[in-house]
Formats: sequence, C-alpha cells, structure tokens
Amino acid sequence: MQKKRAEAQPKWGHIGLLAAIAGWLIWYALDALSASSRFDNLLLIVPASIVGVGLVIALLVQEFWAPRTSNVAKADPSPDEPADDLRTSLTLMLLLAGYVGTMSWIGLDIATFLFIGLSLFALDERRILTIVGFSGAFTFISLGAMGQLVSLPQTAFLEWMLP
Amino acid sequence: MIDFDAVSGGLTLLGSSGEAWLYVIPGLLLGLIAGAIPGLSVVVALALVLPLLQYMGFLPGVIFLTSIFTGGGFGCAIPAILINVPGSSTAVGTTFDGYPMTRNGEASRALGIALSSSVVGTLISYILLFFFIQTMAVMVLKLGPSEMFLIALWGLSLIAILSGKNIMKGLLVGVIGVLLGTVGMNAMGTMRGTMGSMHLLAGISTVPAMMALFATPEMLVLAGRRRKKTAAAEQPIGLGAIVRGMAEPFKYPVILVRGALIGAVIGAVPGVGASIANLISYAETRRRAGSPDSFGKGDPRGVIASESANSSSEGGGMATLLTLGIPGGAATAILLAAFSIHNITGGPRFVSDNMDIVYALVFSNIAQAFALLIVGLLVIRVASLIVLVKIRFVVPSVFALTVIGSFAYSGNMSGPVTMLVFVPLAWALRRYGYPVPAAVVGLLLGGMVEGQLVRTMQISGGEISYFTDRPITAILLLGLILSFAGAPLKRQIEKRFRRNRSKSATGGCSNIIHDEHKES
Repeated sequence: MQKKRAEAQPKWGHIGLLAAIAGWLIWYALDALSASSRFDNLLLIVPASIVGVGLVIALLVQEFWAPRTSNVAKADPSPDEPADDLRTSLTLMLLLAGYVGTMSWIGLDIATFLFIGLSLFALDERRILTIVGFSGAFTFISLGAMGQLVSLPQTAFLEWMLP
Repeated sequence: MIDFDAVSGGLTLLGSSGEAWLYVIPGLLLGLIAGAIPGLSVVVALALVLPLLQYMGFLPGVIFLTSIFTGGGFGCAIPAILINVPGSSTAVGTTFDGYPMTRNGEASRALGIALSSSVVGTLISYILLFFFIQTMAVMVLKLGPSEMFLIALWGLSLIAILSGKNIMKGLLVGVIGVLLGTVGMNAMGTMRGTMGSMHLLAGISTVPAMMALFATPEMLVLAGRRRKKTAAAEQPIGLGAIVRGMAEPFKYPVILVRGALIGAVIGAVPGVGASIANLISYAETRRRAGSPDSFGKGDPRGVIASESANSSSEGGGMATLLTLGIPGGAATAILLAAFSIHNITGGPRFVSDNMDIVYALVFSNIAQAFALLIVGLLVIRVASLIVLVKIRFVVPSVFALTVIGSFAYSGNMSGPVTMLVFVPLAWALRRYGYPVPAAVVGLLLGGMVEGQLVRTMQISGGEISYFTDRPITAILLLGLILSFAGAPLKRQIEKRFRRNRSKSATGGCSNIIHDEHKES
C-alpha cells in the first residue's frame, strides 16, 4: 500500500456538523440561563455545554491540523463511504421527510406504499411489478398487523379496501 | 446469598402469567432473523419493537426484549459462519474459524457448535446472575447520590471512550446526549430547550429518538453497500450434522466455561460488552491451545470460545442494568428505555424492591436459553437462506417500520417528527465516526445525572471536597480517571486481532472489526 504526504482537505461536512453542535450547545446554555439563573438549573447544563464547546474546538483544530500533518494511506475509498453513499443517503432521507410530511394528508397507508416504492426505485430496483408488489404487500401486512396490535389512525384507504 | 421468598415470588409471577411466556418464541425468532441479516442487527430489531411495549405488561415486555436479545446472540453467528460477515461486532471472533469451517464443507457442524455454545453461554451467565444478584443489590443500596452520579458518569465515559476510535468524539457525543436528556421541565418547574413546544415539556420522547439513532444510520450505510455481492453459502445445511455439531462443545468444557465467564465479567463493563468479550475469549483459547496454528483454519474451539463469550455477556450487561440502572451498550439502553415506558427507573431501588421481578427475568432467560436450542435447531435452515436477503428490500422496510412504530407509540405526529429530527443527526454522527450509543445512553441518563448531582450538592452544601471525603466516591472518581486508559488498551486488543487476521488465510476481518465497532 503506497503512502504519501497527505494533501487532503478538511472534511467540510464534519466541520458543518461541529458548527451546528457548537451552535446548539451555546443556544441551549443561554436558553437555560434565560429560563432561570438558579444554581440547580445551571449546575449541569452550563459546565457540560462549556466542556462540549471545548471538545468542538479541539475537534475543529484536529480536523484542520490532522490532514496536513499525518501520513494518510493512499488507498481505495473506505468501504464505509462508497462514491454514491452520500447521494443515496440524502435521497432516502428526503424520501423519509416526504413520507412523514405527507402521511397526515394522504394517509399512512398511501404514504407507506409510495415511500416503499420510491425507495426501491432509488435503490436501483427497476422491475415495476416487483416494486408495486412488494410495496403493496409490505403496506398491507405491516399496517394490517400493526393495526391489530396498536391503534393506527389515518389508514383510510386500507380500511376502505378491508371493510 | 439468595432471597428464597423473592425466588418463590418470581416463580409465581411466571407461573401465573401466560403473557410472560407468550412472547418468548416470537422474540427468539425475531432475534434470530434480525441477527441473521447482515447489517440489520439485534439492536435494530429491539428498536423497532419498542413502541409495542406500551401495550404489554412490564414483565412480558422486558421478557420479549430479552428473547430478541437471546435469539440475536446466536443469529449473528449464522452470517459469520456462512458468508464471513458477522451479524454484528459480537460475532467477529466467530468468523475466524466459523467461515473456514464452511469453506472446509463443515457449515452445518459449525452452526451446531455455535448454537450449543450460545445456549450454554447464556445459561451460565444467568445462573451466575441468579446467585449474585441479591449480594449486588445489597451492596448498591449503600450508594448515595454522589456515588450514583459518578457511576452514571463513569458508565457514560466508558461507553464514550471505548466505543469509538477518537476519545474526544466519544466524549462530545456523550455530552450532547446528557444535555438532550435534560431538555424539558426540571424538578423546579423550569423549562429548558423546549422552544415553546408542549410536546417537549416532559423531555424528548426517547422511543422515536432511539429508533432514529439506532435503526436508520445502519440502514443508510447498508443502502450504500447494496451493490456489493456477498459470497453465498452453496453447501446444503443438514440437520444431522447440526445435531452432531451441537454435542461437540461439551468435549471442551474448559473452553466453554472460560468463554462464558469472560463474557459475563466483560459484559458487565459499560462500553465493552460482547464485542470485546468474544475476541478476548478467542485469544485466550488460542493462546492456551496446544496447536495454535490450527486456529483461523476451521478449528471448532475458536467458534466455541467466541460464541460462549458473546452470549454470556448478555447476563453481565443485565447485571449492570438491573443493579445500577446503567446500560452497558445499545441493546441494554433499549431495555432501559423499556423500563421508562412503564415509568420504572432501573437501579438500586428497583432491584431491592422488586427482587421477585428480577428473579422472574432470570428464570425466564434460563428458559429462553433452552427454547433457543429447539427454535434454533428448527429454523437454522431457513435462517441460512435469510442471510442472502437483498439489502434494497430491507432498507425501506426498516425505515417505514420506524415511522409506523413511532406514530403508533406517540399516537400523533410528534413521534415521526421527533424521529425525523434525529435521523440526519444520527446519519451525520455515524458518517463522521461518532459512537451513537454514547448519545443514546446520555439521553437516557441525562435526567438522572442532573438529579443526582443536584442532590449531592444539596447534601454537601456545595462543598466539592465531599467527593473526596467519602471513600467509595473517591474510589469511583479514581476509576473514572483511570478509565481513560481503557481506550489504548482496547486499541491494542483490536490491533492484535488485525495482525492475527492478516496472517491467517481467511483475510478481510480488519475492516469488519473497524466497521462494527463504529456501529456498536
């Protein structure tokens, strides 16, 4: 395995995550402070937030410093991060957001059917019969079985099909 | 020391409730199937069924979860043996000799060995728990708020330090978890971090949050790997060979018992658990073996050592959870969440006041071990086909089940919305190598940590020297500091295995160890 002096850039996604974490930690400490300045309210939250921000700063330093100072193996992409990993993950998360966002409008059953179908398509399934068949069977079995155990509102279409 | 009145109470609880037995077989089957699908894991299965627990009694619900845990303990060994991909990090040691046995045409024998070793491991750990739980309960009752605060902090630190490669990342995610656990109204009626939402007054709903944190990042990683082909096990799985294999571990009673003891002790340490226990047991067996060169080439002793250790760590983890209320890892964190669904707080008070329930859990788990023997034998052939299930069907199904489950749990949109908020966070944490279980344990313990700290300060009048004046507190404080030495120690163990693995002919496990530790 060939090694060379790394010229890698910092991971901007990681830096964004750290910035978001630091923002939340500071906001939470200030929110707790504005709610009440009593000792018992701030005893854990303020020191923990300070420690958290300190760790964020240390990780940011590491993120900017480490790629320039360490020898990094010039290897194949990590098995954890194949080229299309990010695109697939973002697509699935968007579909999930759409699923949760629409389920109270169009019903849990139809939203589930559409989510499964579109996710299968996003995961390279191209056989229409398989997509429709699996989505339908999953919706029917999962909501049917779950509906027997717990109360599931907004399954009007399924109830219409199964009076 | 055994409390015979409580033993009798425990037996009565189990004997008088059909519901307590109703979920054992479904739980074992679910655990077996979830463990057999590489990447799905027992933790995902436990997270998915969590919403159902509010419709079950406390004892049947916890028994259902422990059944999944027990079934999954063996289920993870199936893909490890058949396709060299452990169902979770707990079965990494099983791949070392299990897969070479498959390549030698002995898959059925290896599966039989793994099944009986798992059963014996589970049995031994719960028998130990039966004998020692009362003594442990008496000891932990002497702990005050300062000790409980430090134990919670220690447990959390161990998980944060030991479950990732970067200590700072582990600690940061633990801090975030603890702070998330304090969101909502505190004991004095002050609201923090609610953003004016009434849904957050009682804090963040842990069940939808846990479903998002545990189930979805694994699925997103699996989705990225969907095009990778796995080597299918082509040889038939024969019942006769499995049964003959099941008898084999009893030819090596020392390995079996040593593995179970290693698993039970290491399983009780938060952040370590089965994923390290199986490796240590394997290493110890190899070191003591007369012919260590046969290891890595299909030596059944390797499978026995790994499987007996990973299964027995369940009992060790339960000991820590029941007596201290501290989950040692992802699976026990879900068990603690099951406690909170029924408004029960695990820990010293629970175990001393409800010793009958604790014994009922122990007896049920002993029965589960025997049931696993039969269920495992019957479904092993089906489970060997499940390992080949296509990822593209698993991923959306798990996603949809988390949404449906969180909707069913909350009864309104707050569950799915909570889940949706945590999905990108979980994905980002997983992507950049943060140990997600530390966040979950922090979320579960945040309220308790804050409560115990406030109580300690009230008792001590704000004197910090109170921590060093009390001998037990001082020892715990020292332990907390020393635990930071655990990370290099763990790295040494992993390095050693990577070296051994690269020397052996089977290859490819170093990545698995690395990946799986990130997952666990």
